[in-house]
Parts: sequence; structure tokens; C-alpha cells
Amino acid sequence: MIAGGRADAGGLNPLTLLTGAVVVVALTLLVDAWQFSAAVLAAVLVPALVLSGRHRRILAAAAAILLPTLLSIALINVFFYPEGREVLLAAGPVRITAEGTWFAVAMAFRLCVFVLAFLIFSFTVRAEHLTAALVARRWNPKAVYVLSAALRLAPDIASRAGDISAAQQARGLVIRGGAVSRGRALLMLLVPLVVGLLSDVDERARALEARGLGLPGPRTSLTEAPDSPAQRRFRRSALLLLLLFAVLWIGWRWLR
Amino acid sequence: MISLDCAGFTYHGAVQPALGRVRIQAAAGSATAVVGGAGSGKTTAARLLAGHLTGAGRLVGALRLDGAELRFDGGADDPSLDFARWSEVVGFVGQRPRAQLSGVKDTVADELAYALENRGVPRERMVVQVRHTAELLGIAELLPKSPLQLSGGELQKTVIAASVIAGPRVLVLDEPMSGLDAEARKSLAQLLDVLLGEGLALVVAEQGLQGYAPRAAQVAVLDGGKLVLEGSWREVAASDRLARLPVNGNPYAELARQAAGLGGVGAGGARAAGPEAAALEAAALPLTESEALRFFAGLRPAAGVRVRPVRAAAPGLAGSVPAHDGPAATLRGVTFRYPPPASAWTGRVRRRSEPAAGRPALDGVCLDIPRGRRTAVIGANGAGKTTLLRHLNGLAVPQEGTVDVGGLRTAGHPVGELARCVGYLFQDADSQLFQRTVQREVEFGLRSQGASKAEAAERAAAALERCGLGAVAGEHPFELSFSDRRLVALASILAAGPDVLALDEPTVALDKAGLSLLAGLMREEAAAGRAVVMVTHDLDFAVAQCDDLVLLRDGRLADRGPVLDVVQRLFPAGEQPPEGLTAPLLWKLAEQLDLQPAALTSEAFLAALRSS
Amino acid sequence: MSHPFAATAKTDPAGRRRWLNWLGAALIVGTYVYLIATQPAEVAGGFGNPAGLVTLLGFLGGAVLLLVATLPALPTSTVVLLPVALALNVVVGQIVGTVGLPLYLDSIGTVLVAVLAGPAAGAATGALSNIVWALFNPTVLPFAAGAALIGFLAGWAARLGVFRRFYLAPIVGAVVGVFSGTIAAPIATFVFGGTSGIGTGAIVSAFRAMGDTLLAATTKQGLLSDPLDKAIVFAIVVFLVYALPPRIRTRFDFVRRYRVLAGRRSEETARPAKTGATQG
Repeated sequence: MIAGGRADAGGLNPLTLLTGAVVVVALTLLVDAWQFSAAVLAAVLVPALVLSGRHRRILAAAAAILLPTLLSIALINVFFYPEGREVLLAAGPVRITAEGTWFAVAMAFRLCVFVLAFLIFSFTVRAEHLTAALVARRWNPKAVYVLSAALRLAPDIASRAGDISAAQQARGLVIRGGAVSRGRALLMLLVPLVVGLLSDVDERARALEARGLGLPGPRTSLTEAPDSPAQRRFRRSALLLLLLFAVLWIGWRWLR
Repeated sequence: MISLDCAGFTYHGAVQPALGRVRIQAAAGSATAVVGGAGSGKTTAARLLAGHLTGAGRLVGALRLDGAELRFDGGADDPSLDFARWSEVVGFVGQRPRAQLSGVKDTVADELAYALENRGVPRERMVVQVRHTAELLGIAELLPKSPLQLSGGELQKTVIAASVIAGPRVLVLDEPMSGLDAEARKSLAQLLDVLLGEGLALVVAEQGLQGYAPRAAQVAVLDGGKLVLEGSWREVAASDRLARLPVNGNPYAELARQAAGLGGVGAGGARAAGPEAAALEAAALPLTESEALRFFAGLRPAAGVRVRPVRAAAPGLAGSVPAHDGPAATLRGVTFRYPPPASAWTGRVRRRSEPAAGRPALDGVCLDIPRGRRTAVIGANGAGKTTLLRHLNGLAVPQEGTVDVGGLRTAGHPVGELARCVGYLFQDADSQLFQRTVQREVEFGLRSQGASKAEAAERAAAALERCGLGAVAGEHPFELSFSDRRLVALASILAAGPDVLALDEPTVALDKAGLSLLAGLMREEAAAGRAVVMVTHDLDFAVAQCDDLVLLRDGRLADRGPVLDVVQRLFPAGEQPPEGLTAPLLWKLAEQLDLQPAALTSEAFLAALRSS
Repeated sequence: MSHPFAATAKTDPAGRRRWLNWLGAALIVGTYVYLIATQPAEVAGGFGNPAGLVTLLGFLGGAVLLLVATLPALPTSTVVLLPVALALNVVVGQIVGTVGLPLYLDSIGTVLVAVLAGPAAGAATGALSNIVWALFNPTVLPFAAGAALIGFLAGWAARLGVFRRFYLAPIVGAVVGVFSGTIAAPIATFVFGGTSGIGTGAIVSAFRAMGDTLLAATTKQGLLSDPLDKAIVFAIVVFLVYALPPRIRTRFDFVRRYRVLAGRRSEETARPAKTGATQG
């Protein structure tokens, strides 16, 4: 949906994709071992990435999120890890320890799994299918509305912001480099943006109410999300197995 | 079917009532037009009928629907209206159709289905009903499109279809035609006719008499919150009283009045006696083109031999303007393509009128914008009009070619700097307003150009006075009517005194007073040696108020020159007008009466008529 | 007195779901207490412990419960406000990122809704905001509970009249920042190894170099940067709401009922009937 909705998840229901992502993330967090995270990355996420057909965009988005975060993890844990005993290198306040390094590696792999799993979900799913799937799950209509509207509103707001900024420059606003000037420019952008958005709100609320947003009772959906009995079985059993595994895993650790 | 019987309505927090004594009703299968200028109370009346306002103010009066009556005394024990149930019967389409989209649907089909989905209609029936409604209203080909990429007219039709699909029996529309070109208006009117045929009662609020009002069974004219005129469209359009109201009236009737020397607003006293006045009294005022032809043919001095005067070479006002050296802006070989839309989160949304990917929005345009003249840029939707205008102040920078404005090359200068020599009025004036009072709004541009506080205040006050806004200088800009908001934006540009005025669709949604103010300002600015450029769909305004026309077609410069020359080439006698354009009303009349006016203004037309 | 189009008094639907609210809040607080109580062993203990999952489930689950409790009870006029605020959070967050200010400012929409529509709407906006944003930046997902807390506290601050005084808003914003910084720390620690970005990472490193535990270091970092960020956000919002035309400001029930904004009443009664003109 992020890429504008031409994605096709190959007949997969959005909830099937979401279940997959949740199971993968939950397992990595539970097991919490870098070997497991790396294995999940290689055996599950890389193939999924290739199958999605939009690996380039997903990787670009993932890199933008992951690079600064991974660098920061390394900075914190590799160089400063006061709990570490096995010192590899010490210079002034910096102590590179084996424990810190391994902790950073584990965190890095886990984070990669976390980010990639959810990005693959959101880049392959179609917004209207997600909405339809939530309607079919009998989610509260207002919650469905807020989620679907927010997804579609962000680009609209971005383009409004662009228009306003253009209009202000056409009125002689020159944005200079300083932080104060930029802060002022941001404030001046926000006022008409918020006023414009809020004056639409009343109109939209009336239109939506007239079209039945507030009515009680179940909803239907013109667009239907693809689904199949096999997918439904997969979702149910995957979540059940995850729960079972979690209980056993935590119980086993507790006993040990 | 539905009626509003209002003795007074005052918004919470306001002192003066927005509506006085007003009675509006509509019967099943018939339309009522509620006509008035900015601030007349027509929107308030429409919203009261739609059930929007009973909590927003104090109403004394009654709303009736289907024989049921809700009576309000303005006291605490007034009934409160159940909007959910009211809106099942009464649909409403407001002034900004974008705001009425659900915002959660990706195709027109889903948008139509939304009201059915919320009522739990089974999918199979929904498919049938969506198709049926779309075919009935003639928008079947829009069903797979995204609501964000529709033209103004298509969007309006979609919003109407989405609100009637669940089966209301009354539809209230607030200025449905505003901002649409002639073709879109016509096709919207046809859609509304279909709804009438289906037995709906329509209430249409409008700024003028030439929108849907001619097809309405009943026309009510509001002014200052009061009902001042009521009757059939013919009665209202021909009424003397109408001419004195700030309502865009019937152009044929106005022309005929002018011919008879009866004048309209402001020309009260000068009644010419003589054969023409007699003719006016004898015949009813013409209200349609064919009536106008008969009427003006009858006004010819003699039906004998006609001496055709030699047409003077485009005089107009520009003739009296002193010559200025060099054009104010120069475009050389300008080619511009919009970048493909990027990802939905970060990228911009494709503008509605942008051409499809591939074709450049502007293609090798060479053009001089002369000083001291008013130039109108015309063309069909997507011809590149706005893109051309955006090149003048650097909002768009040519990918090939150059643009020079006031001696500066736009490519090397930020927009904020070019603003010193180019004043740009946006189509959506609201995005241009961002200060807390009208006065500060106008001062902003001056202050950012380095004017002292006192000087800015003085010049701002002068500009506001010119735009007729002196009385509202302390108001919040967004508390004003749309028409006035556009004038505030215009004042903020005029105050800085730029060399070039670039106006994007400045006439849209202006009422009669606003239009004549705009025309006067354009005249004054051109006379002061500035270049005035406007992009417009309103060819009648353009030919009457501009000196030159520039015609764009598919991003290329198709024609340019003095107004009359271009019109002559564009609308030759007896041929269909080019797609997306409608011949100016005066031109059609002149052509069929075999007149050759010196300009396409009513004065020149009447002069030609007299000497024919 | 039955009438086809007259509304009858409605029962308050919020009551039925109140216990869900408490459950959600309890889950969030419980998770925080659990993590604080057990943390030293957990981080140093290395692999194979579920602290990350507990953090995620506790905070996200709590936020979802709060949503289930509040969202269905909100009137349509408020529901329509939420997506606008969500998108505003995201877009302003993005713009601030590109403009190069060293701040997040990604809760302007949340605080704005809280001021206009109250604590419940504010909390819902905060939580949903992070859930939607997570679709293109998953790392913000676990912080949903903190965002909900910001909206909730801002709503109460508005109800108590903080936004009637221009100078009070940033002060209260800083206090709210103390809470949100504190609640965000365990997430940064247990889910993300102590970080949520380069700038914050440097500060955490500094505290670590002084021998703090990871949780202590991230908490201190949160207490350094969050109050500043929230003080600025509150200041921006107070500026924004007073820049709104009175017509929009007074449209909100919450604003009128609790007199959230100052000194405008007399001005409004003196104002001529412009509202009608507005709409033409």
C-alpha cells in the first residue's frame, strides 16, 4: 500500500501476510539468539523478499530505517558495555568487550528481522484489501475508517503542504539556512495546513454520517480481499502453534 | 415534500441573525433554486434544510419533511434533530466536493458503494445497485477510476451519485456548478434532470441565475439573509429588482437593459427615453439566445440598407496606455514535464489537470508578456495553462528553454525573490492565507520585502481599500466568505506593487460585486503599466476584460493576439467550436446579427448595433 | 412525544467499555513495573529470554485495549478528526526530518486532537498514529503506548485549563515529556538494544561510559530529550489553536464545555454574524 496500491500479494489475504510477519517477529523475540535470527533472515525473509517482486523498494526503505539504528546499536554496545568482562581493546573511556559485541550482533539481527518482516507485509498488501479483510473480521467500523483514511490522507497532506509552501514563497517568503528561520517557516506552513484540514473535517463528518458511518449493525464490502480455506487454516494453526511454543519455551526456561 | 419556514436563525456566538424571514420549499420531482451573492444566507438556508445546523445556532421557525414538522422557538426545550434519520431522506452536497469524499476508497465504484456497505447490503445486490446508479447518472465509465484523479465535473457527479445511492428523496446542493467549465456545467445539469425524473426534490443554492436555476420550477433570491424575490425563473430573471442585487443575473437581460439605457447596479438614474426604451417595454426582456437575437434585431435603427463600418484596429483601453519599453516577461522555447508521481507516502499526488505521463505539459512555448496589457491564457483542461503561469514566478522552472521576468532568469532565483516582481494569485486562495488578521496578511509580503512597519501598514490599508475590504481589516481571513478571501489574497499581492500580476482562475466563485471589482483592478493595474496575465475558463469575462488572448493546446502555443483576432480565428461563423471551449456569448450574438463590434464588450456591441 | 426526526436522549456508551480502559492501562503499567523489577538479570543474562516479546506485547497490547475501549465511543465528528491528526503527525515528522531540526515533533497532531477533543481522543490518536506509521517504519510500533500516554495527558492538561495561558503549555509539555521519556526507555532497551537513532545513541553511550545499566542510560537519555521535544510540541500546538479562526475553535464540544481556551468568549459575542457569510 505504501507503493501506491498496484501490488498484488499473489492471492494472499492481508491477514495471512500479517500472521506470517507476526509469527516470524514473535519467534525471533522469544528465541532471542543471533543464530536463529540469522537463519530466519536467510531462510524466510530473503525468499519472501524476492517473491514479493518489490525487493528494491523494500530494501531502500529498510536501509533508511536500519542504517542509523544499527550504527547506533554498535556505538552503544560495542564500545561501551560496562557489564562486559572479556576486554578486547581498551582506550580511554572506550572498552570493546566480547559480551558487548555479541549483544550488538544479536540486537542487530533481531532488528533486521523485525523491520524486514513488517515492511514486506506493508509493501505487498493492498490498502483496499486490508480494509476489506478488517471489515470481514467485523472490526469496529470507526476503527476501520480511521486506519484506512489515515493511510490515504498522508500523501494528500504532503501535497497540500507543498502547495502552501509554494504559495508562501510566491508571497515573498525566502527560507534561509538558519534553524530559527526554518522553524518560523515550519510554523507558518502549519497554520494554513491545519486550518484547511480542520475546515474540511466538519463537512466530511456530515457527509460520512449521512452515508451511514455511525449506523449500528454489521458491514459489507464491495471489494473483497482474496482468501481461501487453506489460508484460514494456516492463520489459525500458526497462531495456535506460536502460543503453544511460547508457553513451552517460557516454561522450560523457568524450570531450568 | 420539504420546507423551511424560518423566522430567524442566529449562529452561536453571533449577534446578527444569518437568516431572517425566509421560506423555501421543494416538491417531489421539482427543483427550487436559492440564489444570492456572498453572505446572502443561501448556504445557511441550504444547510438548515439538510439538517446540519440545528445545533449550531438558534432557529425560530419550522422544518417540515414528509408531513412531519419540527418546530423551533429558540428556547431550551426545542426538539433536537436526529441527523442520522434526517439524512436518510435528505442528502446534501456542499461547496467543496473533495471534502465529501469518504477518503477511504480507491475507486469511484467503492466510493458509491460506501453508503450501502454501511447498511450491510449484501455484496451481490451492491454490485447491481452501483452499476445501476452509475449508468442512470451517466458516470459508468468513471467506476474504475480513482476519486483523486477526477476532473472537477466528474468529482461533483461522483459525490452526488454517492449521496443519492442509498435513496434519499430530497437532495440539497450548495453551488454545485461553481468552478466548472461550460461543458461540465451542461453535463451536470443533465444529471440533475435525471434525478428530477426519478422523483427527487432538489434544492440548489447558487450565486447566479445562469446555473441550474433556468430549469428550476421555483427561484428564491436571498439578500442579507432575507427573501427578496420569488417566482419562476422568467419572472425573477426579468425583474427590475434583481438588477440591483449582487447576483450574477441573466446576461441577455442585462445587455438588453443596457441597450435600453436602464442600466444595472450603479447606473440607476440615466434612463434614456426614445425608441429603444419603448422597445424594451413592448417586448419582454430576452432571456435566451434566440430571444436575444430577435430582441436585438428589432433594435437595429432601420431595416434598410446597412452600411458596414470598417472595423477599427483593436483599440480597447490599451490604446490609451503609454508605450512601455520591452515585455515584462519573456518565455523562450519553454518545455516542461511533470515528474512521474513517486511513492504514495513521500511523493506528491498527481494534479488533476496534469497530462498523462509522457506528453510534456508545455512544449516549446515562446511568448512575450507585454506591459500595460491584460492577457488571458485560455485552452481546454490539461492544455498547460496553469503550468505556463507557474513558470512566470519560478514555481515551475523550464527543463528546456528560458523564462525571464523583470530582467531575472527564473532558473537562478528562488521563488521568494521573484515574488518582488511577480504577484501570483493561486486558484485555491486559501493556501495563500496564513496570518491571523486580514491586515497582517496583506502586510506580510511588504514586511518580508523590507518595508518598515508603518509603511507596510499604510500600503496594506490602501490595498485593502482598493479591494473593498477596508471594513474587515481586523477579521480572521477564514471568517470571510470565499469571494472575500480571494480578494484578500489579491490585495496582499497588489500591496507589493509587482510588475507582473499572474492570476489563476480569479473569477471562480466571485459574486457580481467581486467580479466588477476584479475587472476594475485589472484595468487600473494595466493602465499603470503593469502586465496582467490571467488563466481562465470564463471566456466571456476574458474577452470583455482583456486585451490579448493566448491559446494553448496540448502544451503548445496554438494562437495569440488581440482578443477579437483570436476569437475570430477560433470561432469562425457556422462551425463547431473547438473541443473544451465555448464561444463567448457576445461573439455568438454579433455573428448571428452580422455585426462587427470593435471589441467584445457590451458597450462596443451596442455601438455596433446602433451603427449597423 | 415521539417524532420521526426528533432525537431522543442517548445513553452513554462509554460506561460499558470503561473496564477495558483500566485493563489496558494496567497492562502498560504492569509491563513497565515487571521490566524495571527484573531488568538487570535480563539484559546481562544474554540470550534466550523473552523480555523483548514481553515489552512488545505488554505495551502494544495495552495500547490496543485502550483503542478498543475509546474508539467506538467517540462521536463521528471526532472520529473524522483522527486520521487528519495521524497523517499530520507523520507528515510533520517527515518534514522535520528533511528540514534538519534536531527534534522529532511527531506528536503535534496527537496533542492538537487532545486539546480540541479531549483525553480519550488524544490517547486514541497517539496509539493509532504509531500503528499506522509502523507500516512504513516498523520501529515506532512498540512506542504506541507512550504516544497514547502523551495524548491522554495532553487532553487532561487541556481540560484543566493549561492551554488558557500561553506560557503554561510548554512547562506542562516538559512534564508530559518526563512521563513519555520514562515509558519509552524499556522499549529502546529491550527491543532495540538501547537506541532509536544516531543522536540518542550518542547520549546513551555517554551514560553507559559512566557505568550506568542500559535501562538507566536510556531512561536518562529519554529524560533529556523528550521533555524538550514535548515542550516545543505543546508550544506549537498552543500557537496553532489560537491561530485557528474562532469559527473552527468553537465548533468542538470539549473546547466549549471545559473552556479549554482563554478569553475568547467576550470577543465572540461582540463579533458580527460573520459565520453565515463564511459559507456564502
